[in-house]
Amino acid sequence: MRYFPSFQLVLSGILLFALTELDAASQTTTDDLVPIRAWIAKQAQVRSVSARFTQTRALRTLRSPIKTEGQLWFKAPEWFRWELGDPAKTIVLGTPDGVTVIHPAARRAERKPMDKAGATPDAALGMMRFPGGGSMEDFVREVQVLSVRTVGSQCHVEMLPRDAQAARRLSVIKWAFDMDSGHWISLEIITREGSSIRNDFYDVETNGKIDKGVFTFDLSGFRISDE
Amino acid sequence: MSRAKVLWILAGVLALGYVVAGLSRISFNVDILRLLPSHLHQVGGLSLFLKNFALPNELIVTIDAPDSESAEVAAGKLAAAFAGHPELVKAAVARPPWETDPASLSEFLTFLMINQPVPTVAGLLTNLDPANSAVTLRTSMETLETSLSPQEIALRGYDPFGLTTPLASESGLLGGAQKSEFSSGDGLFRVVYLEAARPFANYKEIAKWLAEVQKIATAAVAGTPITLGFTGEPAFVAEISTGMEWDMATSAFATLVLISLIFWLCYGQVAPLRWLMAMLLLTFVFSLATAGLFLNELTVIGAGFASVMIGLSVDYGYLIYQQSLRHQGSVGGLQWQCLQNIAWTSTTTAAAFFALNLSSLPGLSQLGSMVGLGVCIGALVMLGVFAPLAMRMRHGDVRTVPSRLDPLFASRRFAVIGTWFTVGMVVILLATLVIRGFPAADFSASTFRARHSGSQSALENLYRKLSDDRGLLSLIVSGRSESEVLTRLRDIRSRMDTAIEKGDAVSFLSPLPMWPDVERQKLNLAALAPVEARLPELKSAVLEAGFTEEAFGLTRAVIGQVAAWQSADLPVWPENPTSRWILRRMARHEDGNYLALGMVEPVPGRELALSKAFEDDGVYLVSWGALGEELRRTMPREIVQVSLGLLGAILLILSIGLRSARAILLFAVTTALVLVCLAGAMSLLGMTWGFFNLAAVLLLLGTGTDYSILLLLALRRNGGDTDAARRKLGLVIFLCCTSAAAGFGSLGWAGNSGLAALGKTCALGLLIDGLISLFLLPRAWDLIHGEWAFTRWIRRKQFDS
Repeated sequence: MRYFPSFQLVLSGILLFALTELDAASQTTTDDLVPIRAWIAKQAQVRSVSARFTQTRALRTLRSPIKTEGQLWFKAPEWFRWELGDPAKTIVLGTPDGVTVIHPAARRAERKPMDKAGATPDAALGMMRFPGGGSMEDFVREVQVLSVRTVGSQCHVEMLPRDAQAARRLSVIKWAFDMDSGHWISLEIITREGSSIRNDFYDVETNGKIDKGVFTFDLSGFRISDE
Repeated sequence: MSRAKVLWILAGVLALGYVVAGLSRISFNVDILRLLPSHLHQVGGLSLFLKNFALPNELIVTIDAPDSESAEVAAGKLAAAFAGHPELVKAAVARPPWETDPASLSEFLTFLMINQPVPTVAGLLTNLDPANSAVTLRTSMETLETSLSPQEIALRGYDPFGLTTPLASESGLLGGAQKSEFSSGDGLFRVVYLEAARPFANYKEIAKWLAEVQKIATAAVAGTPITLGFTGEPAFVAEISTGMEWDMATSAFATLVLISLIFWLCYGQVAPLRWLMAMLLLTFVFSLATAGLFLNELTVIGAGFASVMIGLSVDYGYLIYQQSLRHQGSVGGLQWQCLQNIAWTSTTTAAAFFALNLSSLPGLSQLGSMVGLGVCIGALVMLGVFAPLAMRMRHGDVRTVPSRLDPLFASRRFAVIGTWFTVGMVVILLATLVIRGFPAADFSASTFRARHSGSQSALENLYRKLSDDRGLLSLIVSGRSESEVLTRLRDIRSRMDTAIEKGDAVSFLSPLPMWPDVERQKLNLAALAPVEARLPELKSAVLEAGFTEEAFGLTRAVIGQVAAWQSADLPVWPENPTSRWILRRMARHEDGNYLALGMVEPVPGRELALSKAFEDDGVYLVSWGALGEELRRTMPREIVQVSLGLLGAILLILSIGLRSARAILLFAVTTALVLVCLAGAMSLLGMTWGFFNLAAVLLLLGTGTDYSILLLLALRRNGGDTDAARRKLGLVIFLCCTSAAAGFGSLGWAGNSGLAALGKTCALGLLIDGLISLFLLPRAWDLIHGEWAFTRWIRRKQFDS
């Protein structure tokens, strides 16, 4: 049959209204990537992480940015809990089986198998899904590093996903981490239309003991939808 | 000037006018569905799809690049290059129109909104109500604060009153779509859509336009590592039409060359060969002109007529020339002598080909009509013009000699070797059939396409890299009015839900949300009308809630569009370029032609059952896969029925001509043996049965039966003397068989897979038919007439002495 795009294909661009041109990406050298390589190597020893964060959403359609407090827990290899709001308005639970997005106020939950969970927004989830499967090679394969800058013990990285579909809506991803402790400092995603979502992390604790109960949630009485 | 001379000149002028008028009307139709029975629901649906949604003026240019940046730059360069050629290209679209003009999308969103159920719009009005607007805006702010969905964040920011929320939940149109019709996920592949500056008049214009566009595109990306591809309707039409033209010309030329070669090998004469070729060209030109005047556009199968017709018409020339070498009487005598043979063979051949009109296959019917006409014209030309010429050559200065192969066909040793060879061949083919079974069936869409197609390769590349919907069924709903289509769409949606519950379908993307409902539009437009007056108040509420003025843009545009449509005739259709772009492959609403297009994902293996369940008036659930399956189920029965009818007609004609039950029986057995051996040969060569091979059986019945008929007639005239019959007609049958096989065989190199398969199958069948008719039929005659070896030996002795 002659080519016929589906409805979804045709309407895929409807959501974002105004996009600006991407600035030409500068090139980085292998030497620039040394701090990132060291950070990735350090992650091999990380068995658990807990942290608090402040999420700032600065949208073009809002007169002032929205700041929300949040908390996260991570336990290797695939357990995590991410909460936004205090008390939590959105909770994301990650287990080897998949991801559950919980809206406690609405008593509603959405379950996604692991293969579809990749669609969840990395920016909003903060540290939970980081490019690369734990190696520098995977990282470089998934991400184009635009610049690496070190200030004291802090390393500031600007990057873009290599996936053109994801990159076309983004202006830049800014990531900062502490080179000594390996802790995250911040992660910010700036879209081409000028909006941004930024997470600033604090009270970061690595390899502390995390109760297993953190990764469970009683969904009794919740309306659950499966994907 | 004598009166006769004037008449000849007048006749010549008339003939020339006839030929010029006919040839100037020749045109091609590349739609492969024109070859198939129009009564098949799949054919009807796919025809509607191609006619209305294939976009005849839209060329798709594909870009493959080593990196995403190069691909994007190349797409931009191409769009800019084509923008500089308004005489060729009306629009070159390299990215979604709403990306360059986001505001233009509001028209389409408004259209979707006013098609919503009245209670849904009432809910939206509640959100806009002064008493609730503050709550609505607070809820939107909370969504922006806590939502994880980037789409929801983006959309709600620009739509704080949630006007688009029901669209997402109602149709699923606004959710989850990450794919693009412009770029692959990795960005290495991009697409630019070109709309031609004006509609095309014919295939030659398309081919010329495509060549110019390709030149511009190639120049635009010269020196870069970009690979371009061209597909879409204009590319297919240009490729297939020029391919058909080429196939027709080359196969006809190859047939003439092969026939010349065969004639030269047999007779070593130039003068008669020259005249024979002239007669064939005359026949070809008159047949083509007749086809141009009286038949519709040539299909890809019809294009194969030339070589077939030449291969058949030359038979009469051979017969006349061979008879003229021994003929002692007048031209009239020769004509009368040949007329008896030619009348029987041309009648059966033409009848067979004309009988193809009984089939429901338009392509085959056309080929039948053209070859039938050609054979009749060929018989008239050969008898009326070539016979006098042959006699003039015999009585004139031209030296006429018997064929160099005459002694061979008179030789008993040759007959014995030929018989054993044929027996061996039959045994091998029958054994193959027993061991390997009948050839496999292949009715897939690939059998209809060009064998080497740049357009098809580009399209498959596009399927691989953007979105492959080949496993889906297209739902085409047609009607005489919007309301009729709407009623059908509603009925289909409920039935499709049932089909999903029953496990026949996985999902259904209905065009219903995009089809206008007059009643809903009327009520919703009326309900939304007062909102326009409240726009300043709503804007203030938005700003007070903490949003920027930009967040109010969509609300203002949608309510403005509602106001603009208050005085419009209902139903309202969105008309701006963005809306037209979105709807171009989803809906048609010209006067009297209303069509909607949806997609269904069937459960594997349930495609045809699902299609059958939705076979209603104006409703088509189709795909090329389902068409192949329908053809596989219906075509063999159809071909068998037509073949039986055809055989019946031939047997009836022969029963009058031969007046012998045993001869008729021999003919029937010979024909059956040929067909069985053909199946064995196809199995041996790994060929498959398909639509075109089955059609070839009909052609074989029309063509190959001539050989057995000629021999049976000769046997009758020679009192059953098989040796004498073979001596007289063996060479003619050999020439006829090899020429016709050359004609069909030359199609084996045709660009179209189906035409090539048809040519190969026919050539193979004809050679088998020729061998069996020439060597086994006489033996069978002897057996059936009780003439054993001893009596035959006595007769040979008598002949030798």
